[in-house]
Amino acid sequence: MHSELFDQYLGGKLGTEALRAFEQQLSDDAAFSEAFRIHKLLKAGIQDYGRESLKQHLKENGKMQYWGDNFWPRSMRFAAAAVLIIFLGLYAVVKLYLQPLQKPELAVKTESRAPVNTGTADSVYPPAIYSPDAPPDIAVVTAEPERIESEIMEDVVAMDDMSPSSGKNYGQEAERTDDAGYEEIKVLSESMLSDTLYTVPVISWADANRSKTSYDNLSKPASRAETAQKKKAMSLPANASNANQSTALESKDNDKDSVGSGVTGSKKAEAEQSSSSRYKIEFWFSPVNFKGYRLTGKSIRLYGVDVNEARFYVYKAQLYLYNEGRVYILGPCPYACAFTAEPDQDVVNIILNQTR
Amino acid sequence: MLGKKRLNDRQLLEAIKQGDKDALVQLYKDSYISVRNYVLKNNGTADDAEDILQDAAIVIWEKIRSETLELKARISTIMFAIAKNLWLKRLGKLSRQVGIDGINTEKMSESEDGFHAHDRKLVVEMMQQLGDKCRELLTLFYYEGLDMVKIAERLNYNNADTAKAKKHQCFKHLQEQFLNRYKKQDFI
Repeated sequence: MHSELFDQYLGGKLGTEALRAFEQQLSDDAAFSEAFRIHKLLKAGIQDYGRESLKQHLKENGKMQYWGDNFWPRSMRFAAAAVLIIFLGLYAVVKLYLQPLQKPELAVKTESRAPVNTGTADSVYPPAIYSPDAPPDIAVVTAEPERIESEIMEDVVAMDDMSPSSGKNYGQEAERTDDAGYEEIKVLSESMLSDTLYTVPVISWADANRSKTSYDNLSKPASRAETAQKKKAMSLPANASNANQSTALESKDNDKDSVGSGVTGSKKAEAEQSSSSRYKIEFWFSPVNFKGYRLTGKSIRLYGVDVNEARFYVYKAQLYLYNEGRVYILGPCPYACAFTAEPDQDVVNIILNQTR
Repeated sequence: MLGKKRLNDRQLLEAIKQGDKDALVQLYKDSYISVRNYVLKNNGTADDAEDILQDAAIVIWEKIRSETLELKARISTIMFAIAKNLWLKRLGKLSRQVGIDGINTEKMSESEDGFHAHDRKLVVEMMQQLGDKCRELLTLFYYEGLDMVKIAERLNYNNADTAKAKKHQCFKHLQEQFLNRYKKQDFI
């Protein structure tokens, strides 16, 4: 009934006179006062309803999603994006540049790359070849490792880069020809065990002659004393032997006194042979139990060969491998080749004699 | 708010003045994390935090609508300050209530305007029983504070007088319902 008046009063829209009259009626008229009280209550209730509906609107529309745009502060979102970008960048770097280092190692590298030069024959790797029992007239060159390496690398540079660190040839398939004819051999996955720069001993003409005469007794093992006696009997004159050794040791200087008086006409050839008999030899593991090699320039890669069981010799400019009692001829082989046994028994005997 | 342009403080203020509830939702979301963390660190729950934040949003809404808010700081900062005060006030009330042998004296006392909370709840219930049009009209007039011209525009009435007559009718209806209910309860 009086709601319009009450609204005007509550809204402060009554004039001075009307306001005074209103307040007078409020104090005098109990029914008017009660009606005003009810009006105020209803108004307060309506406002409560308005607040409730607004709350409801916020509840329905202000629900926070975990990944919603407002759940994370802007700074946190930038930080998360930055971290994500950094991780993606690191992943890309590792994937693109460091992947070869992450290749699964099939075997642990067992030896250092460069041989240790202590000035003695034993210091050159592999030590088994330079045993103290080796004949003194076998050419052993103990040049500085750095120099050897630089010389060898000149030869190796011309070849394909086969080093495992390049990662180029991991898992490659190779072909080879063996004695039985043409056959494919797959070297599925390789892992280098060790490598070294190694000077292959050159068997001199004198060694060969001496060896030939002694092979009649190869079938029965000779005692150390007997061997020493034989050596003494068949050896070249002491001065010649010493000269031969010194020639080998200083072969890079092209010393002329290499063979001595017992060996004629071959000094220069042997000196050249010595200087060209330095090889970079790598021992590789083969998961398919392939035994063979590859030979390109001055680089030899051996598969499935024990590093302690391998010995190399050059005889008449031909490279030989002695392994587990057998002598193999190593010819040029750009891919993976099986070992081919040396057919010439005389040559085999000469090599075998060097291994005693 | 995904896909919607985010409003800056000044735009938020203007939008809320115009009665844009979505602008209030943006403010609510912007303050959600900070208020939630504060309430959780001060013996509250996630539900408490939401409740307090809603109350704070309503305070902001009413202050902006009545043009009594001065924007001297970021609006989200003001929102957080209001929520913090509301929570501390509620904590104080809770400790007082628990202090008297666990008896909730709050409901027994009268509210600041002299009405029992129970009576106001009754009015809210009555409002919910009204028709949509009446409910909206009364809310726009008594809560939003819109004049009859704007209400007529909003609710598609012919003119302000029509809206005024309709409002009078709705209020009378609410009053009758309330009085009937009130008397029945008194009688019981």
